[in-house]
Amino acid sequence: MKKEEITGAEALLRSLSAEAVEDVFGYPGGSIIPLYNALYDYRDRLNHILVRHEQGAVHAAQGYARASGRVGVCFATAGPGATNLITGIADAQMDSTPIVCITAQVAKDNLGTHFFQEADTISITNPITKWSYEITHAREVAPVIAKAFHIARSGRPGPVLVSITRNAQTECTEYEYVPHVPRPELEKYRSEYTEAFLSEAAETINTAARPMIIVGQGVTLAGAEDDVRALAEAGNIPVVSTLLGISAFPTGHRLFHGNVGMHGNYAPNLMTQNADVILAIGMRFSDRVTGNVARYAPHAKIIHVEIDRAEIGKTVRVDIPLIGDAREAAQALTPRIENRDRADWHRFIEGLKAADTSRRTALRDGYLGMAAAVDAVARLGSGEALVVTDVGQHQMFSALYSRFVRPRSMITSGGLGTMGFGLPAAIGAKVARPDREVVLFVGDGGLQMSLQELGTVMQSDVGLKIVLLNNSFLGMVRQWQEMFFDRRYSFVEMANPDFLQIAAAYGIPARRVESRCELDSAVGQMLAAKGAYFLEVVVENEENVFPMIPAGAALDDILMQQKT
Amino acid sequence: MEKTYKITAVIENRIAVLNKITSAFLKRHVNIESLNTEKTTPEAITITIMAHVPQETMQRLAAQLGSMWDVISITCKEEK
Ligand SMILES: Cc1ncc(C[n+]2csc(CCOP(=O)(O)OP(=O)(O)O)c2C)c(N)n1
Repeated sequence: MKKEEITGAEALLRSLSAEAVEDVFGYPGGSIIPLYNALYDYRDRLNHILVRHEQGAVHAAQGYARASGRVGVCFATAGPGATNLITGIADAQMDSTPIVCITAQVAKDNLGTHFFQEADTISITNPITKWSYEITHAREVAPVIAKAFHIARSGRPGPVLVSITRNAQTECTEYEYVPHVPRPELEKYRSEYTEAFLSEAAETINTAARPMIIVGQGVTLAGAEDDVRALAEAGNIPVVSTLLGISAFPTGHRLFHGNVGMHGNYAPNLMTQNADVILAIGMRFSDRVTGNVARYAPHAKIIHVEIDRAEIGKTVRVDIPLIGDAREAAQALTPRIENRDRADWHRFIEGLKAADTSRRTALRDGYLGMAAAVDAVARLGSGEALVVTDVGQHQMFSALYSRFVRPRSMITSGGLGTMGFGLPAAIGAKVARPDREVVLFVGDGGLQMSLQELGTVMQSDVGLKIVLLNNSFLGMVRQWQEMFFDRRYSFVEMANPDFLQIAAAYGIPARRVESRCELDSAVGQMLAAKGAYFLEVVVENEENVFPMIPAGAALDDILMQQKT
Repeated sequence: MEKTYKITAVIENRIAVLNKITSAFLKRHVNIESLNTEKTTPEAITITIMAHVPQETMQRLAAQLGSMWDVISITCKEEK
């Protein structure tokens, strides 16, 4: 019996439906018109959100993926549409975010002729994709989409790019969708530890006097939040997180002590330097986490649970590698872990927390700094909000002062540090989780890198809460210039527009706060608002983020205030 | 210390894969001193690359190549 024939464009949309895709972020153009033409008939099955710039589409897909755990999808046309995705693809590669980017390409016969809007998307994205493929025949559509989704989400997730030539969109093909199952020898991710490794890891933890667990985003990606909590509780082991691991462990838990890293909390950084065993789960010991590697965790044996074997020993020496899924590893370890009192170690940690003066300074009475705004959202929202940030000082304050009771609640650009990420990522998060309160913290610099996406908020009625922490500076760069470059402020001052008028132009209710005493009522008003809301908080211009570990310094060199 | 390594990778037989392999070398500023490619089965191409690099760089490079989806297998040997 002959199978039904459909166009490549329709095959692509059916393949997306077969992968249970419900929402797509995109922007049309010449080479992708056949796909958009097919989409016209699929509007009831696929919710397409029209962004204002392709960078917005890819960041929204990232926010969508990170909020929901599903694969984020975006569409862009050939040439400039595809090149506008680059920053988001690189960001997704750094932060292991599962997305599938579908870009159009000129027709196969026109490839290599400098055809209108031709760009070599595959070569350009090669180093920043987990996998990529250019479809030139309609018959390839279904198997390639199946493979793309499998690769994007399996093992350590990442971005996949599928380029589809114009002719492949319009040609007809038989359609049959078969989920991708790689041959076993081609499966890249397997648990590679033996019983002996597990026993050695458990024994090392059980005999430790000062053990700690560092949770990374791998815990979230594996859905291992409950298992890691069970593990920590089983052994009475203190827990800290990386920037991307935030919200994988409830911040109010008695065993949780904050974040490690350059602008992490004081206690977790010093715990690292004093620990005798570190159980690192789903993290990659980035330079922002380790500081000076040669002086990192000098007393600790390191047990590294990680699914990507290329990460083992990449920056720090690992004593016991457990290559595999965080959830499986945590489940396998927990029954072997013995509950130990370790009162001295817990007392030592409480002492460190008490010695952290940065919090008192940042939240002092009458002072309107970024910390106060983040703290107000955390308090009044009871830690229920899903927080999205842009990049800069406000990002670090968001990480330090937010509270989380639920997983997948902190979305921030870690590895690439992409300004302009915040607003579109928050749009994606809200589309993925309309049931959740999504709050974006963004600086005046970063907001203006993707300001146009307010149009998307308006058109698609995205009920997002935007908190602009406006210091009229590119704050993080200004801080570095102040601290390490003799206060030579080179191009960090911003002459800003009236943001309330901008919000009004997009029909978004807005309010400005200029003193601390108005803050709680304004945040309350924002959280009570039904749809989108824009809150501008005019913060202290020259506030600095502390704690801080200067570049190249060891974690012990952490500063809690400005050196005078 | 720099040593000469012979990297043998079996990759999927299709357009763009060699480009991915060489871009991993480019990323770490490793010069490819010799390169041979040969179709060994209908699905696979075997490529052999010689490069002169510090051991640590070689280990990271091999780990990255090994984690690529289009790479079926990889071996890396020091050449005397
Ligand atoms: C795309 C991009 N360009 C430049 C930078 C460098 N950078 C990092 S933080 C920062 C300042 C951010 O200023 P703002 O958005 O106002 O936030 P603040 O630090 O004041 O909270 C800059 C310019 C970056 N991270 N990303």
